[in-house]
Amino acid sequence: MAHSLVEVKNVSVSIDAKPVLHDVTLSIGKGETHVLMGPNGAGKSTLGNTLMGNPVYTLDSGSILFDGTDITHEGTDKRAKLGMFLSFQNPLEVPGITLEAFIRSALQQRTGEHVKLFQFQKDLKAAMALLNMDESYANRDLNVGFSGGERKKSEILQLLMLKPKFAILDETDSGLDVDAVRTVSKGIEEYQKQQDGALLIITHSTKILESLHVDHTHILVKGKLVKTGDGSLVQEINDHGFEQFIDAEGGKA
Amino acid sequence: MEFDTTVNQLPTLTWNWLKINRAPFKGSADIKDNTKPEVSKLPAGVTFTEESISSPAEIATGMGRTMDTILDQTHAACCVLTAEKGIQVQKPVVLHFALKDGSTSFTRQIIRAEEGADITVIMDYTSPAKAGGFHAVQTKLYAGKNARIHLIKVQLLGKDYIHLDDTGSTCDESALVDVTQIELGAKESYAGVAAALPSFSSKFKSDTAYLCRGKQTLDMNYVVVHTGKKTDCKMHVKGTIKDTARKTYRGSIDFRKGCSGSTGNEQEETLLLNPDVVNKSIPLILCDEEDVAGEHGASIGRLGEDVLFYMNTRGVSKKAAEQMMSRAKIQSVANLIPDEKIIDEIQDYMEEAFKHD
Amino acid sequence: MSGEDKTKTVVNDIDRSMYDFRYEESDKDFYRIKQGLTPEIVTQLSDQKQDPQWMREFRLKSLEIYNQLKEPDWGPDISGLHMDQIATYVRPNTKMQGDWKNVPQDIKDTFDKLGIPDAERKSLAGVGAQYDSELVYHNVRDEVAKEGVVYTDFESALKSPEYGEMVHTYFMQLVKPNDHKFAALHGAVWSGGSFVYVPKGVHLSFPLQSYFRLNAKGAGQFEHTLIIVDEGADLHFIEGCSAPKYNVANLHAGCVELYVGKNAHLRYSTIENWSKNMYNLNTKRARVEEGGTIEWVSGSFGSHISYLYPESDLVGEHARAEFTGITFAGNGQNLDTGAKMVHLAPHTSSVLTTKSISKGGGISTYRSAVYIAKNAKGSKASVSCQSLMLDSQSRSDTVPAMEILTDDADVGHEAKIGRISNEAVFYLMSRGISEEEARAMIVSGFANPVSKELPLEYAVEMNNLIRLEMKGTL
Repeated sequence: MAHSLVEVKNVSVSIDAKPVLHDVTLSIGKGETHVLMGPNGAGKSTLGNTLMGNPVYTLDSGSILFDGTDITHEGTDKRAKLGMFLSFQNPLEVPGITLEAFIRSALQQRTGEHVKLFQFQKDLKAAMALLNMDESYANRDLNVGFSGGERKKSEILQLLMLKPKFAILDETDSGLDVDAVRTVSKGIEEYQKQQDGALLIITHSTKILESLHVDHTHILVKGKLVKTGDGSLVQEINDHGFEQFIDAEGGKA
Repeated sequence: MEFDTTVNQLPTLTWNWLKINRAPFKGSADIKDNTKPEVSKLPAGVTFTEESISSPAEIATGMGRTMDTILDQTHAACCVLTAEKGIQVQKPVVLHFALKDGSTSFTRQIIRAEEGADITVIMDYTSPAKAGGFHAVQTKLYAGKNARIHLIKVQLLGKDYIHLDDTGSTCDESALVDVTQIELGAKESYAGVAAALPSFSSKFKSDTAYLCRGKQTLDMNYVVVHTGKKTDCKMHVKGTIKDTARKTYRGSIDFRKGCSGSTGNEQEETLLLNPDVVNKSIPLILCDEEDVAGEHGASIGRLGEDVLFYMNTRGVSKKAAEQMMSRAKIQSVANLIPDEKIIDEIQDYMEEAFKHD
Repeated sequence: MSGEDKTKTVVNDIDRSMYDFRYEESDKDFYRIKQGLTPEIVTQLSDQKQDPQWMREFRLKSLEIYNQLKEPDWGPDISGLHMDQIATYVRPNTKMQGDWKNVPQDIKDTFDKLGIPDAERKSLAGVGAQYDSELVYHNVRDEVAKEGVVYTDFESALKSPEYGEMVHTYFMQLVKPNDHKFAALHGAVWSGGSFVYVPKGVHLSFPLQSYFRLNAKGAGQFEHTLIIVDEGADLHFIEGCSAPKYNVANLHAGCVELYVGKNAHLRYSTIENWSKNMYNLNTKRARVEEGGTIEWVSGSFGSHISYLYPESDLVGEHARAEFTGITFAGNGQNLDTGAKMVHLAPHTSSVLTTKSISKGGGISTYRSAVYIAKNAKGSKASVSCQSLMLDSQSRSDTVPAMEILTDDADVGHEAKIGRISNEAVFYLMSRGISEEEARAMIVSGFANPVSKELPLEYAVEMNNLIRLEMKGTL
């Protein structure tokens, strides 16, 4: 059987010596859309960041494989070059470099080849149009002065331009109004179609999932993966919340 | 000719152990010829004369009076560029210093914009990459009522050059002086800019970007003196220090009595890339007037962890991110130059500079 | 408000009647050394104090250094200070007491007015009270002494069999006489001050306080404070000072040397309220070992001229320094204050927060240095200074310097200068508050980050001082 694209095996993570994730195991196949849900403080963002190798977190035990390669101890940029991507919950401002120049540089880094300007600009314009982003943003310093919604769009724009095999979307819908959520959803759908990309969507509300097809849903409570189900689990959470899972965990804790 | 003096003195002194009150300048120049700049074709409304007068003493310059002495001793050639009243000069005037190995160049410039005029002057200094020599320049700006002068100085000199770049300006009512500086080359660079704002609603803006690498040293002194009411200044200095380079930045905003309603803002961003660098910064605000608002901020250090992680997630390695940010700093100031050719030269220089990393 | 001749008078002086009382110092009750500064005078002083031989030699050597060093070529003008007109040693003819009722009446009254015995009863673990050049009172609570805490006047410590050696080893090693001219002066004519030793792991739940009162006219006070906080210990030390106003110069050139041991914690709070004829040329320095923390809290309200920059030397990994200060310069005052943070080890951190207010022709200069040595990798320093100008006769300068010798350091700095925001005043007035009250509130609010770090009585005192200063500024 072909290996999964992403394999997380018994991963335990801590930050500043405090444990936050306990023995998490999951796998994501090529092209699949997984959703990671859980109450606030469950460790969802931690898992996303750990997959990406954020040095702020310590992997106490376990391993992570990406496309058959053991990336457990690989640096973040290496993971990105292998085809992983993280869309941030609170994207930083990076003054001094324009959105366009940054994406072009990142593309150049990834492929190692010189990026043909004309095609690149065409692709960029098309992607920005899809996301209802005004063209002028391309020449603005990366995220500087962007509103919350515009920053999230800038993340999805990068997703579409960098074309990774696997994208982790960390609370992409938080702080967005209805229209923005719809637009961002459109961008994600486009990524799914165009790339047949795998997705791990981290969220604690379900607005963004409404128009997406979800293959698997995972519930994280207090750092433990308490349940895995299919797309219907999302509706269950919508109807009943996380209480049943919290109570179960509370008893054990 | 021998030099043993000090330049770039602070308007108000502080502890001597910091060795930041002034910069010692010791050097010698074997003065053979005196390379003068090539002047581009003059647009309409601009006159150019060469005079051997010394420039108006009432305009103070950033490096201080010792620079006057150096230029007097070396019989610096002086030229005067004037934009006539009301003329909005469309194309920049370019003074191009094409220096060779062993060149010595001591020049003065006076740039005048009469009432309502608008002129951009670009002074760029280039030489072969491995060349050495001596280049000193003193530029005084006089902006008339409602006039605007945009002075751009781009330094791309060879690795053994000694470079002294002195600027001073004054403004009439509602005038604007805008100074853009790029310091990339040379072995030892001294840059001083002094802007006087004596007239109502006059303004000064300064954007400087630099890259100090290898054994380069860069010593800067920027001073803005507000005496007129409702005057404003904005100073922004950004750059990167790597290898064993050393950089000193002194930035002073001086609100003198009577300048009520004035504002000043000074920002410094410095990226440090290697353990042997030396950075000295002293952003001063002197204030003798109640009705003003002054601010300064400085941020000095490595690439932030969070910025680095963000870059990493896009597949950009630490080294590539450092280069990207260094170039971005220069690029953001280079973008203010209305001359594609010069921007290209700057980019080429940056490309070369990072090639051997 | 208009049409009335309200408090239009500009208040030129803080209403310091609270501090401005003074007592005659008659010859029979006081010994006063000849004014001036010569080897003979220093020798006489040393005799009066019955110094051990090494100290006498130290004093004379310091005097030599004083004569060789030059005055600073930066900072406020101190040409009004004439050492030949200052009596460097004035001693009340009384022995140091351990009980207030044995302290001579006038002196006791002084400290009563300043609230010291009261504070001691209520909230202090120990008190040292210095009047002119000598300690008149020193006491430490029994339970504190039992834990091995030593808090005595400096002279006793110097001559004691148990601590004499320690004092000899540490005295003026952190602030050396050749550091600057007034450190040398201090080395020559120091007198009084306290010695504190807190043993390993001991946490004092109440602060120790030393109060310095300079009552004599045309005299100097040169107390020496040496505090050693051993590994893991915790101490809050409060220093207060004041003097009545005279129309001749008085000089204060004290010295504070603080040693903070491994993982120890020391908070050093000062309210400096010298009179406006005082030249305050003080030197304070702390040396912080691995994991130790020094917190400085400093309020400068008085003196004619001040040079005051507490320095923190972070010599051990993860050592930390915090400085929170406020300076209020009024008419006739030129206060040059700030701090120095010296990072000499990896992972050290410093935070410098200052506020300064100038009014009525006062001059306030904020002067700082952040120095990060080559091996101080992983260090962080942040500086924030805000200045408020209350009128156009005053002056406020900010002179911060940073020297960084490694790339692995994170330094952030911000400074703001301006006046009371008209919008803020309007906002408060729209809620029914008078303009004068609104301005006072804004200035108090401005000072709040510092006042909330001070012991309560001082915070109250500081707010009162601000309110008094603000009266009549319209």
